Amino acid sequence: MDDKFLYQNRPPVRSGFGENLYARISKVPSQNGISVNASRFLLRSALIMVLLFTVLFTFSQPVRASVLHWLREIAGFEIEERDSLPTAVSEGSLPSDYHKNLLEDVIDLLPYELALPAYVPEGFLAENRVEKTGNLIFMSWMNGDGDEILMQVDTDHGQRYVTGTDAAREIEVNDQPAMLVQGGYDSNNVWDDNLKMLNIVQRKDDAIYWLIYIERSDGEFDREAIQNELIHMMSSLGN
Amino acid sequence: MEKTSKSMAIAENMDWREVYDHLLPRLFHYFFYKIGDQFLAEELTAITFEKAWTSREKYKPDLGAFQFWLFGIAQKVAADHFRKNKNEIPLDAVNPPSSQKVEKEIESKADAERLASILKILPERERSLISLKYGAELNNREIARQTGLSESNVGTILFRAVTKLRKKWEQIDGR
Repeated sequence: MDDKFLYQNRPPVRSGFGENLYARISKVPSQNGISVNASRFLLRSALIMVLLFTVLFTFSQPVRASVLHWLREIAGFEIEERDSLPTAVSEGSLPSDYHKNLLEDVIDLLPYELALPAYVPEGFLAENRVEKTGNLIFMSWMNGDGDEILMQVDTDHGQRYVTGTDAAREIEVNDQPAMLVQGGYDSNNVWDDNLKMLNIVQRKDDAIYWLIYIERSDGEFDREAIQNELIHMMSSLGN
Repeated sequence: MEKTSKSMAIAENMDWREVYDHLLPRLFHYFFYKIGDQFLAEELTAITFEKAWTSREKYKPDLGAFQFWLFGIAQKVAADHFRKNKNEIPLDAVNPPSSQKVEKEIESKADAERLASILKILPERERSLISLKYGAELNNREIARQTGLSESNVGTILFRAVTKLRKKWEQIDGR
């Protein structure tokens, strides 16, 4: 007996079974919405835009003067409240250099010690690739309904977060302050409190961890349950 | 090599019928080696595809991510099945069927059925890895990512499991 034997002695799939199953699943429409890759590209584009805005704020006195009254501090994070973003982010094609990495290939390149969650909500599976842009890293977990939890980690360099008005509040995770944000910017870059998104941001050691829950499935968005799951996941980092 | 070139060709075109035809036997064989029963393997294959198919467009054009996600769902479907039918599987925590009883059953069976029966004597983890390797046709690196084990650990466990299978097969064949 060898490897070949183990491959050769598998029973064939009955053709009737294969055809019937395909006919059945073909009737089920694929969930609408942008692809996983494209949605991450959108999110990344939005983050880059926020960074650009921060640069503008730092070096342009007129811009700084116009936004100062929107600034608040929550859980030690500086946030800027805006009901819409100044520039539209369109869903273009993925950039030619778009690629993902294996975690083990990039983990040693980060200037901080990456803490991984010991707890992930039931049904969510880790994707085997991560995205790295500079010191910023994206990881993803997804369930069978296409709902996704993204974890973004970056160095703490005084970045400012842009949210809708009164969308952010302070909570505690592991007795430490954290910021909870409900809602998100829609495809027109207008803030929507009812968008099925929930974010928790917290400092840990010399990095900032941002957990983002995106629900794509139909049905009611149970904010409280999701918030508890995200808090549980955040509190398990590095355990 | 044939498997790799086919996967790449599919990834470029993302013809979902072709993706289905490519993954169906691998998923079915995964469940066959995992469960040891053809009809149950069909049932669990159907459940897994039904769960995965609704979100397929989100993985376009990344076949690797879709495959990873599909076999992740398959592992959960198998675990749910075993949880509901605890008597059907030899989990590590559960006593495996006695060797003598299994051997008697095996003697009168065709090769494929014999193999499935011998697999029942393996501990759950070894059987899972055999299912992923020889059923799902994943390589050791993919199995490591899918299970959270290290690649070298996967290789060691598989080597041990195949050695056990071979020994048992030869023992029965030599009678």
